[in-house]
Amino acid sequence: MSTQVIGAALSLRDIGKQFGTVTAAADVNLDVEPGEFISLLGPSGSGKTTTLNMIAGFEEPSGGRIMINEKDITDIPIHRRNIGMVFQGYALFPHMTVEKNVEYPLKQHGFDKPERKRATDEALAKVSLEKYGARMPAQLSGGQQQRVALARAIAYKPPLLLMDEPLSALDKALREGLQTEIRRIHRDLGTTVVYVTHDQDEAMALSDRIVVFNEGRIQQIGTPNELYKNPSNEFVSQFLGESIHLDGLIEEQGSGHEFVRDDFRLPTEVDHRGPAQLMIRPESVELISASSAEQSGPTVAAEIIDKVYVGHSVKYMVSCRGGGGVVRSRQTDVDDFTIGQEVLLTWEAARSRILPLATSAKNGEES
Amino acid sequence: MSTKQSRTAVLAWPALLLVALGFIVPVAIILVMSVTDPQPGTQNFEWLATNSTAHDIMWRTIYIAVLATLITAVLAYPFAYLMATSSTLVRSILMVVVLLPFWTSMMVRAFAWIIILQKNGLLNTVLGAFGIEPLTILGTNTAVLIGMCQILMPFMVLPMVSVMVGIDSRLPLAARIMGAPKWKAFLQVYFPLSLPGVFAGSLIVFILSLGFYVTPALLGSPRQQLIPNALFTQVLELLSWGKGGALAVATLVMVGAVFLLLFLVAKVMGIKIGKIGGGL
Amino acid sequence: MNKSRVTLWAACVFIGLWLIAPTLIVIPMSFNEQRSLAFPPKGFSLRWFENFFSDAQWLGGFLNSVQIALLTAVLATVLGTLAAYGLFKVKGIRESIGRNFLIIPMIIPSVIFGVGLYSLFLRLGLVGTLPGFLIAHTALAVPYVVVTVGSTLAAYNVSLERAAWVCGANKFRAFIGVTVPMLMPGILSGAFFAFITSFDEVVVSMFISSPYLQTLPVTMFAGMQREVDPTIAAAATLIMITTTAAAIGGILSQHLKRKRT
Repeated sequence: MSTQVIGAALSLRDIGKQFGTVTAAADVNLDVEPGEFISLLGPSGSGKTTTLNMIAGFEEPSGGRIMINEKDITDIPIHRRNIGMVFQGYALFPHMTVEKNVEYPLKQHGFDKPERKRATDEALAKVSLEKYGARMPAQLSGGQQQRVALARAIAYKPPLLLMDEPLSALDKALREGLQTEIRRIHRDLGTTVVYVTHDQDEAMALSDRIVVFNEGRIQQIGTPNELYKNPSNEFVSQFLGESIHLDGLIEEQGSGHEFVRDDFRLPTEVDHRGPAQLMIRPESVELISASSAEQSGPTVAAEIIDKVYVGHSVKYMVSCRGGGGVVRSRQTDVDDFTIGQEVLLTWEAARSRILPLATSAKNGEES
Repeated sequence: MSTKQSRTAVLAWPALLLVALGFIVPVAIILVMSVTDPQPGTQNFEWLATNSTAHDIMWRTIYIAVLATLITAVLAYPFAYLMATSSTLVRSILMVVVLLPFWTSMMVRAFAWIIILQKNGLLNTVLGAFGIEPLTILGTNTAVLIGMCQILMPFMVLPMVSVMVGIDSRLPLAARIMGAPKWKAFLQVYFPLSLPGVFAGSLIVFILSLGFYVTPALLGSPRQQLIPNALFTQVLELLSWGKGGALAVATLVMVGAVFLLLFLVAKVMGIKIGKIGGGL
Repeated sequence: MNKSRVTLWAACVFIGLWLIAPTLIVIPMSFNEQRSLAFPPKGFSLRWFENFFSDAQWLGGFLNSVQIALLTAVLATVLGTLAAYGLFKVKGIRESIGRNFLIIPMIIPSVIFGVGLYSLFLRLGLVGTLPGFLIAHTALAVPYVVVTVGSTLAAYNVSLERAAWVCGANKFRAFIGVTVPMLMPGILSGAFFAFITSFDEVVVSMFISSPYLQTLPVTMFAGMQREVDPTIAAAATLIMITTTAAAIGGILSQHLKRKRT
């Protein structure tokens, strides 16, 4: 196995970018641990790519500092930042062979010839393209080009590796294969990775932590599990997978607070008064027929408005007063409900999450 | 299918016929005259091969054409680069700057250069104001080159721009993040990728500069003739159609040789030369 | 903007000036009061324009040029448009052979063409005749029309024409009623460029003109070799205004295309 790299620590301090009157990114604060795999996730125009471009040096921040290993690199020219990068659409040099492409960063960093040859071969072997060194990029398939781009970015073992939607041009099957490959390479190499994507599944599958962006600002930073289970606002919860949202109010109740609707009340820890939403993930909800009496938790009356078979489960679209969303049945055999039927939604109170509306960002449009 | 196609193809015949009879035939006539006038034989090519004046004229023509191509390429490259890397609005404005003179009379432009470059012209008036001795430019190869390159610029700029706008703007950035300083990223990535445009432009410019008549006749010296001017003199003043024909053959051989050379270079370098006529 | 970009801009402004500015000097020269082409011109007068329009040689050359250029524009536009359309429909190897064949007049030096044409016209008695000029100029102008119309055709949606057929138009009416209007930007700019090609042509025209039929550039060329006469500056100003107007027309009509699609 090859030598491990010491991953770099990356810190963004109050980074912002203004294009004329347009704010592309603002108040971006982030600390990335050495060796961490972190994703910047958000819809297009959310500021994730602008942030990446500022780390790379392609854009100059309008304010704030960027530090790598405690060293301020904000004013360091691009080529002396010691960063590796995989571009969207690969950006392979079309006039150089695969080998020359991979060798390019090694040459720029002053490696001598035998060392370059060794590192090039090693990088190409890592992406299983050792036999393709003499080809031109145009002679390769999309997936192969992607792997060359990856090999080129890791060839000189940069302590920090940036990836800008590297898989967006590939079809689903290839994408999943390459995700595994990227994870393996990250593990082998130990480098710090900052990965930009608009695909939440991809972010979930790859990352140690995810930074969710919307409208130029960070919405939440956390592990995939934290974000999914405890989204800090409606945008994050909606962007990270499907959910049901129910409108209500938080009221003071004795010494604590309660989330209140006409049909149920739930005690909550949230110290807040006013409009709020209750969020539940689809797999946490159970559908029962309206006549059923077995109720262990809160219930809400709803109508089934659509039904889709997805592999081994059934997805129901439900609508109820003050909300709605998607419910996923656990098995296909729960196929008892028809479109238009009145049903009850029920769930374990502990599985739902209450989000005060005042603190949530402006309603994010999902992309 | 094919009969339907040939029926529509009839529409192209009048133009093809006009070019064939009105252009190809006359050109063929003068080429043929090189071996038939004043009597059948190779005497005109013997003259071309042995006469020192003819040698001078041919070498001078090649020399001027090479210089014109180099100068135009050097001046056109930054201009094309700016066009290719600017916003659409700026690019359109610069395009008009290139295209307007393209369609402005060659005669008028030669005349304007005479006014500027002559003994008591604009240039020497300005230089005189700074106490600099008047320069003799009109009637020299320098004047010919100044005038030619100005006319040739669009033919160099347009093919360059059409190649440059096709270069992925992130490629130089990719080189930079991999450790290349600005000048290296340009030299190792952008420049090689722009070469097909440089070659296409140079090909057109070189070929066109072999055929310049008006500019050398008006800005150059009669003692420093180029092939087109010599051809003119041979036929209209000396009534030596055969020698004129031989000069025409020599010009077309050069044109063909340049095409071939460029084709080979492009092949070796693995460059695809797009539509050469595209820039026109 | 960083430093290298500023340098680039500065260089390009300089190059742009070199392309455009020198030519403009003929305008002040044409209003010179004195019989001199020395710079700077002195005084202001219209005498050289008066001279131009009262001299049979100059005025005749001007009228001949306008007439020949207009007729050439019409002929070249019709032939070139038909050719571009015909070749567009053929496709394949025959198309590229035809297209390259029609481009030849752009590549071969006009001196060679002029000498050969002179020889041919001497035998046919076409030297110094209107048909002679029209043949020569149309052959030179057709390529420009083929190129401009061809590039418009490349962006033309063929199904529009098919739609016209389906609606019951025959091929001719579909071509005139649907295709030609769609190609108008290319056709118009081709016509403008054909006009300029003819109006500005001097080398071939010198061979095939006679003392009885001369075009303006030929008169001007002869004048420039003969004497210092600011009437030449007046002629140059008129030629420049005419060709620049036509060039702007040509460039603008190409722009039309972009707006429409």
